[in-house]
Amino acid sequence: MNQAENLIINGTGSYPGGDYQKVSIRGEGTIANDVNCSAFHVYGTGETLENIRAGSVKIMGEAEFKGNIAADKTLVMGSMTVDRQAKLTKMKILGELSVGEHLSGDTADIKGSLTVDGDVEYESFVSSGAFEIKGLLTAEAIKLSLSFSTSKAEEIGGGKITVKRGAWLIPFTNIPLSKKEGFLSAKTIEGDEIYLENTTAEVVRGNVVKIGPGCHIGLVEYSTELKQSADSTIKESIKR
Amino acid sequence: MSEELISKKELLDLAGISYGQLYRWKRKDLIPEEWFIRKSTFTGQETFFPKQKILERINKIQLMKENLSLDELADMFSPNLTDLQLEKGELVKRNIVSESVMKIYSELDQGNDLFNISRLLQVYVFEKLLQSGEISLEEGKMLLQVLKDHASEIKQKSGRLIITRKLGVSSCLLTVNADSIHFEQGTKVVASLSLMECMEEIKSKLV
Repeated sequence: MNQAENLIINGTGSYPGGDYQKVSIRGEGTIANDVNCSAFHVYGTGETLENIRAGSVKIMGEAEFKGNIAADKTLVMGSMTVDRQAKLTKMKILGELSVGEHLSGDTADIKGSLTVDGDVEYESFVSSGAFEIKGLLTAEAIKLSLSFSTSKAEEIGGGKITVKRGAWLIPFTNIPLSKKEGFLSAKTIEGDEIYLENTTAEVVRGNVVKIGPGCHIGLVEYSTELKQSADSTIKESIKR
Repeated sequence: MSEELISKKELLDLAGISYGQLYRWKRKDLIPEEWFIRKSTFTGQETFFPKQKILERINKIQLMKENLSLDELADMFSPNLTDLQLEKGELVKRNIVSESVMKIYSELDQGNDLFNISRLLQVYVFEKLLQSGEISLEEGKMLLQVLKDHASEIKQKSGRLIITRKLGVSSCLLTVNADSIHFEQGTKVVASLSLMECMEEIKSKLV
């Protein structure tokens, strides 16, 4: 069998889908049908009208995927929009990503921003950016550094959940570099081990729950341990 | 019919699992999305589950995760068996049906060598009862006829197959969603099999 060819769009063009080795869009490109490729790079503006399956996806410019996407490795430096489901096994978001339905994979590293209308499922979810998730955010390990704006999720659930204020400190001190602070807001947060800072939540449930500074929690349910910092409020706590 | 619900908290206590495990299983699709029923209570939002189903499922996961990876388990619970097709030889090889029983079945059933899920169930039940010696070959033929005639009704329902004998005459019946069944005095129930359970057994052999 012939090896699949590369598809390189320089300038403006609309092409059919199919199997390709490498797809590279440097101007403005549209791909009309399903695509299967080992690498998908967009430096300008790219659009696929149907589903795509790719080995590695790199978005430096702007890309819109109107169908589903499945990719092993994803790096977004520009902006990427998926209208339907996204399965991005390993993703790194320095720019912005927005997904219309379900988002899932293994490891997520977010330094930019993430918007998802459905649920988000990862094994490891690390964010020092901001996100807005309309459904459930679940991962084995969730590690959030809140450095700007307010991140939101309807529900957060997992094994170990750590939420800290932004990590941008003057070296060797505890003094933050910028005055800006980030916050997290969620309806329910459930996990085995939970540490929270700057978080507003209605209910927090866990085995070991540590509430750091800047939190406003309606109800805490815990089974082993509860620690509360002086400058946070908990309306009610129950040991079960 | 409304099912009895159990809250997430009670479930974790009862099953002795952690939030992490529950969410991990959910992520691996071991627990279907529809079972997560969100309701608001006076303490805020809580998630509920259909009690019977979830406890059964968790039990199974805990039993089987010793031998199988979570991904293999996920395949087992996923309902994609509907488009399953297996070769005759494959069934024998996988120890679902013995060679001798398969031979008898092939003589009775003029189908091809490809088995879809409903034929798989037929031959599996046939095998099970014949091998255990509970029924005779004649009764087996009768049973196959019943299963074949009502194949469309068996799917996804809690069907039960019952074989009875009285005064040397045997009869076979299939109940669907029956609460309880009562027999005339002197009737001997030779075999009673839940088809759902058989289905699960087949699935576990397919993995």
